[in-house]
Amino acid sequence: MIIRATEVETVSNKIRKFVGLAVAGVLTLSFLGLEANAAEYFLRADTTTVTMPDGEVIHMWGYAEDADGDLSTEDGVVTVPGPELRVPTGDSTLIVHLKNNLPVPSSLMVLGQTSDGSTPTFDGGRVLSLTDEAASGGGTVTYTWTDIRPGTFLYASGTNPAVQVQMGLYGALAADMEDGPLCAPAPGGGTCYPGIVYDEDLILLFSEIDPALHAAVEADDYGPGKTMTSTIGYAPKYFLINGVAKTAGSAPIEIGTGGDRLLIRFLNAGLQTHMPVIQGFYMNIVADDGFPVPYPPEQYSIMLTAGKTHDAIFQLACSDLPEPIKSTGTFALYDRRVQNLSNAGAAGDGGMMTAFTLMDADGENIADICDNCLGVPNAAQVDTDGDLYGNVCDADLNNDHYVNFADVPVMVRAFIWQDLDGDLNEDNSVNFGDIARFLELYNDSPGPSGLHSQQ
Amino acid sequence: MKTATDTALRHVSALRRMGISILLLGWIVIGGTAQAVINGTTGVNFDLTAKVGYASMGDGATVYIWGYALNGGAAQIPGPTLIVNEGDTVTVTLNNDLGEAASITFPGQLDVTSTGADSQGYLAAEAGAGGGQVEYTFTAGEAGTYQYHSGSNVAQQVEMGLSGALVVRPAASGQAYDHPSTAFHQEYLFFLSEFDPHIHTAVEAGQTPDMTSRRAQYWMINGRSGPDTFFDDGIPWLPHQPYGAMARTHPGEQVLMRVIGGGLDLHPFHTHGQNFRVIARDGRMRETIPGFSGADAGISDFTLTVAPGQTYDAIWSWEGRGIGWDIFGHAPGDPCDPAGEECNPASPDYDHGKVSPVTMPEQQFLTFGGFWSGSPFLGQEGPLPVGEGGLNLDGGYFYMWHSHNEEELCNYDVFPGGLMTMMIVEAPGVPIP
Repeated sequence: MIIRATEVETVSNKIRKFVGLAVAGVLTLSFLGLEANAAEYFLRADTTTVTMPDGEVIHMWGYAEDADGDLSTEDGVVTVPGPELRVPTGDSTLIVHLKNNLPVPSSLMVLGQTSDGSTPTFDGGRVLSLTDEAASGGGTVTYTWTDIRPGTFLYASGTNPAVQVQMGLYGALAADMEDGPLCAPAPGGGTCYPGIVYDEDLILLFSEIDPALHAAVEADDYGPGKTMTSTIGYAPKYFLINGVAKTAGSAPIEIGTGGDRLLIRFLNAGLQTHMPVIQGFYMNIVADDGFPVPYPPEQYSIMLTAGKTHDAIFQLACSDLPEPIKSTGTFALYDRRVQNLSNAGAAGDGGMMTAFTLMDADGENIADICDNCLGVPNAAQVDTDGDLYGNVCDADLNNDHYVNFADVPVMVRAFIWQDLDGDLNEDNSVNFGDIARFLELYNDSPGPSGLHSQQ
Repeated sequence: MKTATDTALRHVSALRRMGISILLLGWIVIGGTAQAVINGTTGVNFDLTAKVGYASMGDGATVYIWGYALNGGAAQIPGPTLIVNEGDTVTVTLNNDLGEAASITFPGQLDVTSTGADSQGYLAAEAGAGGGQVEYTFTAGEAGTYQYHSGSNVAQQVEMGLSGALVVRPAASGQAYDHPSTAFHQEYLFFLSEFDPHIHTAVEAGQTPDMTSRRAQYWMINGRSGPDTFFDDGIPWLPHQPYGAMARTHPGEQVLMRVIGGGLDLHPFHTHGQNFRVIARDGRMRETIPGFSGADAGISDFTLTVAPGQTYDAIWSWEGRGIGWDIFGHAPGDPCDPAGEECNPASPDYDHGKVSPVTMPEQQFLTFGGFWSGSPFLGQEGPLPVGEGGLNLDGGYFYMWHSHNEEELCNYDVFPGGLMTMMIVEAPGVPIP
């Protein structure tokens, strides 16, 4: 699974790029007066509770995305992590309107991005916040980033981060390249870094919970002169991926067929280092803190330190899958700092552990990427002519890649002589059932086959 | 650092002397210069058993462990170093003597299948408690340094000691990978891990320890904490820790360091004496052009961040040239050694026959360490007071290789010990091993 991640800068590429930019410039001019698009979000910082696998209810702070863009009506649901913020291809501006319903002032910053004109809040010589604050109890503030750098970034509270980030005020920002012609976005996907195209992306945000802090904050028992005076004794007990700690029966993450170029965006909002490992496979690490890595290394693990983001390209072929995964389609992703595979010290698997599952749309327990006939449950995978189209999908008996009148005499011969190429329903004989299937498949290409698409 | 090491060494000097005498006898019998090779078990079929044992720490403490044993022998930490050839179909049979299901996962091996499993864990097929068995088969597809560890009740079982090293050798001998840029003269394994002994005590007592409260107190290289790392492989008084960690080389040789994050925490592994160059991570060369350029994208560094689960290959080399005086103590008429540059007046390494700029103080002004040979010159010895030194029979240079997190140079809060060993640069011609 070696992926050539960096585009080679050839002369023809440069010319193409120049032409592309010129065309883009002309297009921009022709829409004179139209401002560049901006990704705009309305967020509310508020309290919520989450329930851990052992039943422990944790008081959290989180962000809610306001659905109607009117922060005076509070219609969003608070989540931890907060909503995914996305700046799509073509945009370079992000605007976030923040309303703060917390009992203390709060704010929002994006690590690695500079917002326009925001200033730290000082109390005398002491920094209280790294950016503009929204007052407690409903205050609002608007942040604008007019020059968003593409990549994967954490956003988090910039106010008393030792407490507020731990309390749950964090989330992911995914931004794509704005100059598409440089990198020719893949169909339906995007280009996050120069030359790194992807079909789909997946955010995996790692974080931790120390319940002692949350209990103290909830009881207004945190701060000078109170029971808990600092976070120096940080001792997390719950370990989350995308806000979820593993428990028996927790659902795996669906990553499509696995055959597409999946950009996995790893983020660590916690305070400890985590070591995500994809069980049994390698990935190409293409970015570090939103900067492209010059020579993407191929690794099965990623060192994800606190506050860090890494992006990796993950793409499978059927030949990469050992036997059990071909049928189960499922494999684990876990933190190799294995002390974190626990829910508050309880026995058994827990914490930062999840699984990826590959699509098997027709449900015959063969991953689509290895399935020679998609859309039809053909567990036997019969492919008598060995063209990687399963017989159930393959009435193209003369192998000219189309089922038409030329295949009819071949089918008739197969029917008479019991040539199993004509067995289109996996019953090991050529009969009227196969003739009916032949007519269903008539006037179309053979397939679709997950295997053949990898040729 | 030197004083600390000396203190540590005093405790072991007697044993070490005995060991060295035996070693010396070996050299006389065998003769010649051989290559240092990693101690392990070769072949394609391996029989491992997960079982209990007791490890000895550098301070003499005994820690209850779970380890993989080879062919029904003693549980050991790390598990047996499995050495196979690229392309081999490898079969590992796991027998389980523990009171709970156990397993093995092989990160970096791409086609692991299993037969005869008693149960299926989240990460691996399992051998059931009390005598269960499972067989794993995989193709060692690509050369490199890898690890294996338990895939069952992972948080606890890896802590207890169920992990080990896997070395896949390429077709070309003397190389780490399928590229000449990874050639080496000497190679050593540094399997870094750590124990929280309270967890081990709790497990021995049948309790379920809270892994989220873990705090390590012993830090190890190849399953031993300092100063036990200095001892030879297979010494009889460490039956559950068969692998030493003392490294030796000659000036100018390429030393392949196979470094593995085998525990649960990160360790900054520091090489004194010279930088190393990282050539691979997770069993894959650091290449600018995959499949073509060789290990040309690695960085030079003197502290390797060793993260749990990862493996690293690095090349370290020491030449001792260009320091302005001749560390070999040559007379001007002596032959040039180890390379001609020291005799080339145009070279920055021109120091042949130049004397040390330091005049040695009188003996009464010196504090002696066990590794002091009595001479500042490589390969030479000088007079030592009675009862001092004596651990450096070949006049080599001792460089401590250790964790740069100083806390990890302790055995249960007592300095020195922990994650430390020595690299000895021996004079040309001194036999290794």
